[in-house]
Amino acid sequence: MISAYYFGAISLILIGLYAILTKRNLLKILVGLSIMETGVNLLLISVGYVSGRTAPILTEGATPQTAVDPIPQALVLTAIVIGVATTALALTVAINLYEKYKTLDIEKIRGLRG
Amino acid sequence: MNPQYASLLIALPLFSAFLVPLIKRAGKKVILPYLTLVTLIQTGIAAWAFKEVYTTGKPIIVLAGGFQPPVGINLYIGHFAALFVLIIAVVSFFMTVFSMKAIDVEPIDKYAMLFLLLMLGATGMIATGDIFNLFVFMEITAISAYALTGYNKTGEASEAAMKYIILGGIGSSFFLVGVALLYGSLGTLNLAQIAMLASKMNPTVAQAALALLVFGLAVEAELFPLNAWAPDAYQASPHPVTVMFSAFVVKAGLYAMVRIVYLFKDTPAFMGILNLILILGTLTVVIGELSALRQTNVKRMLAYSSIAQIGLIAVGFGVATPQAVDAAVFHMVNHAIVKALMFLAVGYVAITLGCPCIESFKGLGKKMPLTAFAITVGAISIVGIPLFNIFWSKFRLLLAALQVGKTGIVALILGASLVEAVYYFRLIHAMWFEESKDEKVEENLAFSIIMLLLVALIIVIGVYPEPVWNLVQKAATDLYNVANYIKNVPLLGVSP
Amino acid sequence: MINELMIIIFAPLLAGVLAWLLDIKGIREAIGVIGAAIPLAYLIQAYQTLSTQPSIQYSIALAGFKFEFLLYQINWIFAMIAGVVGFAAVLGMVSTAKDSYEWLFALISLTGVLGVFLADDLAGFFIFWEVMTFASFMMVLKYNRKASLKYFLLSVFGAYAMLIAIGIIYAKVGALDFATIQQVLYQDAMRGAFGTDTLFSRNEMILVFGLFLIAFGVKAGMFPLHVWAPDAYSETNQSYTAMFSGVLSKAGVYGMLVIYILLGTRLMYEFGKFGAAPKFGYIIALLGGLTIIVGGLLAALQEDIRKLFAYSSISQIGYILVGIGVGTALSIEAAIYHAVSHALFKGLFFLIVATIIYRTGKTEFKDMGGLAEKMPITFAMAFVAILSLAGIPPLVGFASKWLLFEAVIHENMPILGGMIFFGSAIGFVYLIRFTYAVWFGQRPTDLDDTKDAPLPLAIAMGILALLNVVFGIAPGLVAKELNKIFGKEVIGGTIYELNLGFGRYNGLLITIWLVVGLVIAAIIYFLGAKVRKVPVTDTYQAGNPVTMEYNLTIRRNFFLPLKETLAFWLRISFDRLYQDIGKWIEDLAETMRHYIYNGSVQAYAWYLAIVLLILALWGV
Repeated sequence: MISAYYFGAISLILIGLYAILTKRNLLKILVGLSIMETGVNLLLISVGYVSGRTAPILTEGATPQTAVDPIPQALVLTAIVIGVATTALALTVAINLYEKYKTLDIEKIRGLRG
Repeated sequence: MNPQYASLLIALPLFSAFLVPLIKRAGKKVILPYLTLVTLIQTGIAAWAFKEVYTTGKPIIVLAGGFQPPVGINLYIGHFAALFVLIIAVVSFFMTVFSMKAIDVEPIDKYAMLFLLLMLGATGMIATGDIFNLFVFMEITAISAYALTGYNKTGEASEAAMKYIILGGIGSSFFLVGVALLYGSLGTLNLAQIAMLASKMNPTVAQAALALLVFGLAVEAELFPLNAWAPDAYQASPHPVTVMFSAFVVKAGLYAMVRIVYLFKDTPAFMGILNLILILGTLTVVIGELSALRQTNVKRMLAYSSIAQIGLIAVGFGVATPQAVDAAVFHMVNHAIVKALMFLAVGYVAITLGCPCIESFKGLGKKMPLTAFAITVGAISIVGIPLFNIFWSKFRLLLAALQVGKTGIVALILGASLVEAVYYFRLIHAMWFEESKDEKVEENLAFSIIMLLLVALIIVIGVYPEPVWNLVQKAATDLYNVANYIKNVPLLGVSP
Repeated sequence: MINELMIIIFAPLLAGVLAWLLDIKGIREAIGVIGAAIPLAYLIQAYQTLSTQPSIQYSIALAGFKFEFLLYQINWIFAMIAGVVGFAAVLGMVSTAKDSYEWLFALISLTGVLGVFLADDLAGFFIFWEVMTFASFMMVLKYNRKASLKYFLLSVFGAYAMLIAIGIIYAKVGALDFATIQQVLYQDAMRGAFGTDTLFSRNEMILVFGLFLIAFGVKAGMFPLHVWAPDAYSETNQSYTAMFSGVLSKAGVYGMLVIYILLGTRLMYEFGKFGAAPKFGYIIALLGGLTIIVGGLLAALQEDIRKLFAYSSISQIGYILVGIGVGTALSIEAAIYHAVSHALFKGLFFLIVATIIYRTGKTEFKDMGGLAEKMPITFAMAFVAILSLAGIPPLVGFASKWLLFEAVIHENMPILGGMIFFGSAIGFVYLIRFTYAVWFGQRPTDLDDTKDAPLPLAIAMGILALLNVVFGIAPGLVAKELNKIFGKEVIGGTIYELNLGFGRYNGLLITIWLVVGLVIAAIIYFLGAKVRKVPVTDTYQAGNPVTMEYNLTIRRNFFLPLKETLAFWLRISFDRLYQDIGKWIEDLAETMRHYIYNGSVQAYAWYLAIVLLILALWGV
């Protein structure tokens, strides 16, 4: 069961990477970046997952023995926030780039080189 | 004073950053002075922490919220961190002064905020004792660095920022994968505890995790071929930010990399990772120097030179004998000083004469004698002429590398240095011996003082390296002596 | 107490910085001269000390290194060369230096070279070496960009070679001071002789020796690393060149001696002997011989007096290298003797050139002539220098060349002997031109009101010329000091006579005969001299018809036939070779840069992916 999560996470990472490496549209690349981050987050979560246990929220009847490892979940929350910030910033920059270069084709945005 | 006050090193820039919108109400004019004030206070705190650490000889361990590690997150301000936090604070302070003249694009309040966050992030990266916390600080640094790179909002700036975001994003993702692997197999995020448990880890997993962490951090530390964002970002970002990149942002990444790798010193994975760093470092030096050779944009040229020097430091860490680590840390300090000076002076030339292209530098000796002098001293120092600071660290580094029989690498590095000599020679020649029609420019007093201060530092360390060398040795020992590191962190459930 | 060795080394540096900071005309000159005089004075004083104790020692700890300084017989001689010629050059600079920049770097380079001579550990040796290189580079940079770049690159190349060699030694021996290294390597040779494992492998010894050879060869101007020298020597203040060529190149020679001192036994054990000479030394000697020939031939073909003496310098250093390479006690003494005399006469030559340029502003033969009449003092000096370089008794040049020749021939080394002999011959060839074209013949009208040497230059030249004569007439003075190096009487004889057992040279006797001869000649001249009018066209043309296309006067293309004969060989130019390599690297770097940093972020992402892939493959 666990291996399914790992498989899913790694697939997501690879899909994201694939998008970054092959798509020429800047927005698609950013989407790829997000997918990759999601994959990483999934991986983190699955590291702390213990089969058959509940969410680590302090409710009635929940004891440390019945909950999954809470630390990865806390980490993933942070990572998601960071991911959102990065994406937001990237999109802002993308808007700016589009205004300046009138294109989103990454092959044409090559003012700085050499 | 209670050592726990050292947490102010993190808290002060964080709170000050979010106070900026309030300060803005008092008028835009006060923002930069406010920034200067904050960095000045930060310098004060850093100096106190520095003094504390070096007089007592014991690291300051800050426990966040009073929780003992590994439950709570701790800051570890050892000899290395104390030294570098001070450097960060001082350089930042200088750069706030420089910003007053160099930054004329709105919104200045956002700039101030990002500036403080950048400083905070780098400080945190160096001071933290927790690997996920390290990730957070790295991302704070990175995001503020992305934003600052694109701050000028020109096409070039946005382009550079975008490149930085994409490459940085990939890097940090894989860093996180590495963290996940570590946590999955060790069940802890505390660096000291990781070090303690490292030898129990499955070597293959350890190697994979380390490789991923190194990969992620190498993007930040601009090791070839993961450094393609760097020249663009250096060139396009505002001048003070470039200084900060070169002086400490990149070095924080390198430090984090080395800290993590050295935690695994006694495991079989260690040698392989060292070789990886060594190869990356050597490639960085060679490609960096060669790329700088025919640059017409001096800022970009310095960027490549900076990259190459980072590669040299990485080689030092890759050799990983105590002598090599000493030398590498020494080179880190020296390079921070020299590159701060160079980028400051070049940035100053660029804002005064309009462009950091080589044409501005023709006849600079007549136009801006002091700035030209500063650049000359910096260039001579980087090339490694004796009686200037970098000579000592380069010399030490090469001796250390030769001591373990890495003659080939040394020859490669020296060959690259020969190339370095050529392009700096051209710069110096253009400044002093080529004619220009422009008038003499009145040089700004504050900048002149800063530049002269740095020049004096370069020469003093060059002529009498003893005191700094002693400091640096202690800092390097802090980095190298992992057993001591474990002992110093009061881990819960582990008897001291 | 401040040690005298420190004063010797750092006085010029201090004076240079002071002169640079004050920058008042008159005062900076005075400070500079004092700064150069102090080391000289202390060195002379040290002679007393050295006669009672074997050495003066001093050490200082800095940056985790212990820097050792030691003054003993060999480096005292070299330091004296630096002191005397450096002082004369600095005196010359009083007239010719244009600004405080020159004072600063000229004096720093004096500090550097003194430091190189006195250092007793490799770290200090290297640092002062770099200081010396850097300062002299700055002197050239002011005058010519291309020449200075070439000089700088080759020097840095050499310095890095030395650095690697030092590093290898340090890694193996664990110490940098000469005494320890010498001892460890000696023991290593013994160990090898007994058949046990040695510390250094054969390949390492080859590497270390090769690297040192490159490092010192560059500085000495040894073929084929000499290409920087003609340009650098000629493209700077010519008073400074007196020091540059006279003293700084001796650092390279001294370095070769250091190879002997430190590695000699070990190298000898590893590679054995070739005849009487150690094999490694024979390599040095052979390269030295080639240097003599190449330098000499090229000197003859120059049209610029600065270039002529630059090449001549290279050629003369070749003699010294031959002497050192042969490696017998006699040949090494002869080599050091020639180092002394080369410093004296070449220093003198460059001061003369400085005077000529200072007074006329001209540097090429075609613009000169008939200056003997206008500059009698300078001409007298030139006369001494010419005789000395040409190796005519009773001047110092003869004594040293004679010793060298004897030393080489005595060891039955005909090839080297032939090279030396050829060098002497070609020396006449280029000197003839300097003698006639500059001093005699018709004077161009614009030189009619040329004045004689200014006082400082005249004094400087006077000092060197005097020593040329004194050491020529009384060669025993030098030989006595040289014998102290080996602690035995390698060169016998008295003050006036050198006696090798298989050959003798008496300076005083020859002087007396010469004076007698001159008196007779003078009598004949005054009795029989008649003024004769000569038409302008009556010049010596070597049997060729005078046409404008093939106009070989002594002032223009005099050795064109020689050049044509050598045309094939002249096409082989190491200078061009190095330049091509440099350009090739630069082009390659540019292509590579555009290819790698091509601006596309997608390509950059691919780099990351590729690294990941490599990591994945490597992890498995």
